[in-house]
Amino acid sequence: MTCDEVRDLTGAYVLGSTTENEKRQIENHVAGCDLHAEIASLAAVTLGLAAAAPEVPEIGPRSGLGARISAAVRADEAASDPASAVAPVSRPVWSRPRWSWASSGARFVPLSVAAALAVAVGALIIWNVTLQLNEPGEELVHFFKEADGDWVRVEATLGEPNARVSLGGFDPLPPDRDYQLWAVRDDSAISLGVFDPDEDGKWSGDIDFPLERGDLIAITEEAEGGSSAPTTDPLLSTRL
Amino acid sequence: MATIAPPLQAGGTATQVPKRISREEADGLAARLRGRDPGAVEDLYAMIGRRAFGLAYRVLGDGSAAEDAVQEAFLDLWRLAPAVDRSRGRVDSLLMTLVHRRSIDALRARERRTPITGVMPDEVLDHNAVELFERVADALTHERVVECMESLPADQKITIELAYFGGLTHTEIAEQTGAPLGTVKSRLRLGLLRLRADFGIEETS
Repeated sequence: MTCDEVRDLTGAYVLGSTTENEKRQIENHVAGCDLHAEIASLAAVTLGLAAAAPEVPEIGPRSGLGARISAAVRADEAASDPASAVAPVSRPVWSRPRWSWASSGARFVPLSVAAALAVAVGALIIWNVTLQLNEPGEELVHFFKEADGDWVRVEATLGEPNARVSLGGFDPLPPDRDYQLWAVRDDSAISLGVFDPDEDGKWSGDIDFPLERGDLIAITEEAEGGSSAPTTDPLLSTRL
Repeated sequence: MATIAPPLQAGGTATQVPKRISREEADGLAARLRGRDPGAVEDLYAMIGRRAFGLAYRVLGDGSAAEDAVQEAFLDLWRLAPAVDRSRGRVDSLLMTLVHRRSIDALRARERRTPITGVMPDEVLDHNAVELFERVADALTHERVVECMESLPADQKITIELAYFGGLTHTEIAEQTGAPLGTVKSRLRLGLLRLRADFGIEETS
């Protein structure tokens, strides 16, 4: 690009409105050109444009946003700081019967098994935060991390079908296998869907299910497309 | 076709305009962030969370999506915390930049357009731009910036708004407005040059 061509694009460049190719060419050009001064000054203008948005918007964020941000930050800190975790606990090998289901459908087995499961889950917890806001809407933010690094974050307005679930630490699976997310309530398992983690092992999405306090969130590995009921031991489980 | 959420007017609610953060408060928050104090994020949210939401809402026009963008921006700030110093400007300005970038990327994703901001580059803000902005930041209130925008020729104002709040590329602006691409580039540059003068920002070599 010539100086004139770059000059024509300085406004678009600082507003992020150029193509990637133009952006690269501009950056290569200005390294040895006086136009970098114009670009810096116009970039300074764009920093001021944020103030064009109203300081008091017509509507505000819901009251739970601050708590969600707080939980997210503290969860991120816990995930990145090994010192904040207790000594790693190896994952117990759960026998299949603990996750076997009645033939009539997705049913948890007896309460004693549920109790054993609860104990095992308790042993796995290395960091767990739940915030419940004492305000209308019963917003809940729940974070749970397993000793091996698998984690889940649930943000929900209890009783309303609009929960956001974020997951991390999950290795890629072969094409014929999927991770499946479950909610378990009253000994019944409800599939919340299958998911494919990204290359960083993360996934997030919205689920159309009204979660309640006390629901058990679990993740299993299933055949591609998911199963009608869990067929493997849970890789992660946590009670809201 | 991309649209821009209508600008919301300040006032009209019982909520008072939030107090602007002083330089001392911003420096204190930055120091606490570098010290990995999560409480600094919470305090910053209490100070400018509503303003951050206002920016995201202006871009996205959807409260839920705006909340997500604000949350992601605060998390971005937290992850940048070890490097938050004066070279990146005041912490509140940095947060607003992150909110804008998160909002634009969310908007483009919603409209199935290619992301353009790259939310978390190593150099979030150009050091020289930050320094120039810092000299005038205290004077750039909402009212002042809106006044400057309103004084622009209408075609320049609209073109800048489509780029900044609508997240459109120059090609997309040309398609949407019917203006030639060269005209769009000129409107963006000339409009920003005029704002530069009105904001009192100097061009230094």
